[in-house]
Amino acid sequence: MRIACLFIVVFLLIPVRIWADDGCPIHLVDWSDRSGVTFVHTDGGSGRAYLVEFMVAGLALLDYDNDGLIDIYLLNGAPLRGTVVRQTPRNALYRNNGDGTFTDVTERAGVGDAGYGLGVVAGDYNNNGFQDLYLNNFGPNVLYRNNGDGTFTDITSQAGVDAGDLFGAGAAFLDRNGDGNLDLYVANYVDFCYDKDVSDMLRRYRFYAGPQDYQPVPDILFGNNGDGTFSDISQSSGIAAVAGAGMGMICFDSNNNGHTDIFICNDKGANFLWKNDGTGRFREVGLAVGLAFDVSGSANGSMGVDAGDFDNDGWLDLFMTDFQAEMPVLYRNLGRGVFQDVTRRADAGRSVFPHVNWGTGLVDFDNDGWRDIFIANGHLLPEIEQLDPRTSYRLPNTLLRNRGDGRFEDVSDRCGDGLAVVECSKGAAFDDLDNNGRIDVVVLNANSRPTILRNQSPVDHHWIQIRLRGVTSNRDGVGAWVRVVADDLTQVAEVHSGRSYQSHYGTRLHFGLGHRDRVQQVTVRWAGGGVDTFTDLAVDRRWVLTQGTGQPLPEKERRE
Amino acid sequence: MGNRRRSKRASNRTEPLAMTRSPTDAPAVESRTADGLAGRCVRLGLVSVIVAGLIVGVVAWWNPPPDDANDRAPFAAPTIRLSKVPAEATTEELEKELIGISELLQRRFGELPEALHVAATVHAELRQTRKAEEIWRRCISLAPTNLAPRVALATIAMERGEDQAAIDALSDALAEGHSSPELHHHLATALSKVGRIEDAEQLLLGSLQKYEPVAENWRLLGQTQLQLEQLAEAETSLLRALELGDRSGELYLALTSVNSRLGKEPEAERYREEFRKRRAILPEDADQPFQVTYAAAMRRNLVNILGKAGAVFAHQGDMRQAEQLLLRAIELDPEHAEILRELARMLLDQRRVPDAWVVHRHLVELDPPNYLDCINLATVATELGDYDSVEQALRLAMDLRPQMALPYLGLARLYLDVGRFEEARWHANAAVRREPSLAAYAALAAACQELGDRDAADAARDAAKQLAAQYPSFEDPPLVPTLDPP
Repeated sequence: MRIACLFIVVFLLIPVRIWADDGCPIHLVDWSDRSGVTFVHTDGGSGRAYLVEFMVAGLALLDYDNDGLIDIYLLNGAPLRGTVVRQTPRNALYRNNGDGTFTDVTERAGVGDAGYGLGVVAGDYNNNGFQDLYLNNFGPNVLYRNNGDGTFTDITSQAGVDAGDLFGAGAAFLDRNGDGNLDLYVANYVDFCYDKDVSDMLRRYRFYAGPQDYQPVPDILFGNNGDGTFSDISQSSGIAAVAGAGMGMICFDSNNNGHTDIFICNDKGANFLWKNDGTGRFREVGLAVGLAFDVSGSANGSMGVDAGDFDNDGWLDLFMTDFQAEMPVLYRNLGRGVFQDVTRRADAGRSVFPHVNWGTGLVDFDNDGWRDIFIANGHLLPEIEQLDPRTSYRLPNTLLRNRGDGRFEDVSDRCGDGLAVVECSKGAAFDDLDNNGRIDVVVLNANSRPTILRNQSPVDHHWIQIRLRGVTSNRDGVGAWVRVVADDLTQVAEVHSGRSYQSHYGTRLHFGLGHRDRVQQVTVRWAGGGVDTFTDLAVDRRWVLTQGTGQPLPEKERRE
Repeated sequence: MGNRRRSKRASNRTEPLAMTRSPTDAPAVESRTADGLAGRCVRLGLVSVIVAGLIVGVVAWWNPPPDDANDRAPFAAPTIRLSKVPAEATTEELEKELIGISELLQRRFGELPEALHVAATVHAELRQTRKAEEIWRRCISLAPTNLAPRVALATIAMERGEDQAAIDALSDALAEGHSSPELHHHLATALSKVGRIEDAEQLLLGSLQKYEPVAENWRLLGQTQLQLEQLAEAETSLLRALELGDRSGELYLALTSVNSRLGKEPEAERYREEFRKRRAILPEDADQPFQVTYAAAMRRNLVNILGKAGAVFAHQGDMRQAEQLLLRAIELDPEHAEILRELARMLLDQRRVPDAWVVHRHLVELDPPNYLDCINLATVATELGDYDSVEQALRLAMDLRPQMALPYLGLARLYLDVGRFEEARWHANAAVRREPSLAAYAALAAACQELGDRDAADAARDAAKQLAAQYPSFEDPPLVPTLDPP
């Protein structure tokens, strides 16, 4: 009887989302148990509440073997000082079997780094046609070169990108100067090490210190030398001029001038927008363009970020997740690269105000041509409810559906059981895992298994997916700007490498088309220059657009 | 007779007051009796002071020394001491003390809405929102027309992301006839958070017609109009907020944004720079470790709650408990001017003038000193016959606000009382130059009379008469006895 009562009490304490599907066009199904993914994340802590524990990590969705199926790479923590483990935690690579299941190929691929993983990005830095992996760790970073045969080689030292023994955060590949080689931006958090630990107590609970307790560390920009090596160009590029407590980041063209800029979420400090002068030198202009603070002038605890054109006006907007008691921020690009916080007007995320939110994506889940917003939620402190009953450590995630009129609606409680999962979610990534033309979700949860959500939205909307092949531009078209015209609907997107909360996804672009059954034109402006136009593309297909050809080719799926 | 009394008092003083300013000469005019005219001058002098809008009236603060020092009721020695160093306390102790105050208030005044409101605030500050809500709901059941608990509940709902609940609660209050700038502000904020920007704008426009000089609401209106892309209107509203004294970073950021979008880049840059400055200054504890900022925040909370609880006890007549609470607040924050002033008021109400003097002197020693605190110290010191303190306080007041006549007038009267007539005349002249009031002319006339300069005294009385003619409706004001006829 006592045990029964205890269960009832525990059940009442867990935030539960009662799911009721009342006509919501988005339907996400919790596929985690059927996916074969058995990875369990650990933050490596043992109750000492080291700062690094609450950061948890991101993940990457990439097609590492070019079989046309999106695979999953999950970062893991590592035992921190004082933690004893039986088995060393490692990162994991799961190969997509094409039937809704995944196989752990970590060992065979050689990507089971045992460092403390925080951020990850995928990019074909050597233009050999296979995506490589860069891990931004607490401790030495790792660059895994994809050998093209299903295996990777750690070439960090040879490539010159170990970045020292720092507290990493997000990372991104970008072509800063249009030379066709991907450079590497490595964000860093703060100057933390065990000897500088300042864990706090709050009402008898261990309480994590924050960025204000440590000095920020400047980020690093590695320039790609084009010969498989990189050079630290932080000083010469201007990046080292200021430092913040960096977290998630994204490289995007903020003002449509063809040059990739860099946006950095800073924790409790002004966010940075590094504006590219076209030669690969950067100047920080966050305040001037309206991205440094929210509408109240507050420096939020900025966590994750995505860029996407939520209102289909041809300019990439930003959505950024924040700390507890802060609204997430939807920055609308007013044109010319000037941004305005329109969160309230767009009703974009007030329901997550009490919670800490992390991974995010501007993703069209119902293929209606309007980008929706996914937000991963979870607190830092397992005991937070004792200190603040407004939120919880484990929470359901949030889905905001874009109504197409500049406003969003929270459909989390009526879009399938996938949004009823209660975890402490951090990294989140989005791609079409089953190649059914609908974007699925993978969420990395702290000290738990990841959540995999299959998109089974009951809509007959059309779509196309586009994979770019650069020739003089970088091979995956990172930084390329793409415009898709389907009847009255014009959408733009960009190939990003590194986004959300210290994660990577979306090398293959996805466009929902609603009921439009023909794409009249696709225009690609390649990083480094050159514009190609492709016409009359059939819908509900995946296409490969190769630089300089003007001829779209269907992407083939190679299943073993 | 009065003159004789003053002379006697002056001679009784062991050490004449310091004089730091040179007296100026007044024209020699024929002397006339002060009887009648002087009385009228005195009556109308008070009127002048009131009309001039002085916060502390001359009569209120200037109780002249009694006829004889022996007539004065003896004052006891002060019983309170104020520390200048904040008392040490751990975060846990501060939290425990906060809870203790809540419990005390609930125990003593369980049916008193204002006491329960303070108790609920304690729990809200400690993020014990369920407890806070429970107490606020009790407040509402006890006093359904009380607005504060309803606004507080709405605020908690907003913090939980339940903006619609907040809108419903505040709209109900509005529908029931409540109206205040704060209510409008909270409701507009909630409306704005759910994206009802147009409704927020309309509400604020209506509110500002009724309560115009509210900078926060002008700023919120400007921000709302900015969201609505009404750039010119937004700029006007934001500039009005600036005019009304809002210097927040939030305002400067909005001004930056609106000017940038209006293409007024130089203005945008100017406001951006102001914003940067505020960002650099405002988060005073931004670089402090968490434990330090948390402890500081908890201390601030406790001090505020002690002040509010003290006010509740004072209002309920338990002055002993009220004093204890306020003294504890001052122990924790010896520079909290508002609480010091509240304590001083309370002590004066109890006629504990020496204790009030201690508090007022503490206030004047704060950095920076406040003009009105100086005037208040002079008042209390006068009651105690502590003329050195009176003079020091008034001289400090003169330094702080050299354009104000009141300290000069006060010193003129002090010097008249102690028989230093030249200095009295100089200061009365200075007061007249700053603000030609009847009281100042009266003091000038009296000083000139004492110095035998009858023409100057008459001229002063004539000027007073002319001024008095402007205020005929005040026929019988209370007497200011420093100008008794000889």
